[in-house]
Amino acid sequence: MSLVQKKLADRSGASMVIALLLFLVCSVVSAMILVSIHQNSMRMPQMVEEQQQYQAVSSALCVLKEKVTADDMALSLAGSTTDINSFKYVLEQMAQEVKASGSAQPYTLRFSVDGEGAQALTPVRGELHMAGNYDLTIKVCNTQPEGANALALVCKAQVSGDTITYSEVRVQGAVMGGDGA
Amino acid sequence: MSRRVRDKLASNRGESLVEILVSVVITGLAMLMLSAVIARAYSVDHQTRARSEGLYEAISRAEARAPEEKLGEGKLTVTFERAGEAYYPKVEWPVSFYGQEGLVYSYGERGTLP
Repeated sequence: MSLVQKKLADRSGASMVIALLLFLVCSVVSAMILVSIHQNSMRMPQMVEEQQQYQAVSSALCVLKEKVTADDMALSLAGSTTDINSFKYVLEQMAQEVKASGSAQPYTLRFSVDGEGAQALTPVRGELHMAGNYDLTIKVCNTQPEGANALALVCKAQVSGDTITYSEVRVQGAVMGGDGA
Repeated sequence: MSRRVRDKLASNRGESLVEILVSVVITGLAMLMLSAVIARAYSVDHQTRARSEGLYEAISRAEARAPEEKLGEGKLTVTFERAGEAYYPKVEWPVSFYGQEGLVYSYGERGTLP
């Protein structure tokens, strides 16, 4: 006689067995619910981190856009700026290279922020390219993970005599490393 | 239904009081555990929902350039490298930091964004 048959033939009570079975079922269901809760709650910090990485890139691009489109950012091919610690000086140097040789060697940009509340802004890096027609492409991405959230600021140059201005500026997705966005 | 099952159900044989009490305790523990876990699940779900709503609002504010809370001011420093070597000392720009729900972003002086 098999174990099942014996059990069925048994005339003693089964409340203990049923209670233990119920306990087992409840344990399994509880474990499944706990795993589900844990997975859901872990998704939130990850989402905040991903958004923060994007905001770090977006913030850097925001400031760059502001500088490129500033009223005093009219580049002179004669090189009017003497302050070497200015963005305008860097761009004028590039523009002069383009005028002389038709192209300019790109720059790698390293961004760092200081100040109260800046700690959450993760490090970003960028690439500064100037095309033969003086069009400017500035790509920015996260350094960790390297190349994540790459965005490009594409600025169309308007050349008038020896003066270059950038008024038509747009943001688009980018791939780091190449000349174009 | 087989005869054995019918016999089992029709059986008048009982159990000892201790067995019944232990069974009731085990069943009670099982129900208590399950109800506690379900209550905790509701609580965590509520918290997560509230946090995600806050985060989406913070993202919307960041995208719409309508920050709620100014965290402070500072500076953005940009250094330039060419062929792996530092070329110019550095460029520094004043920026303001804003944030909400653990999300921090910065604007320049004019507050314009791409």
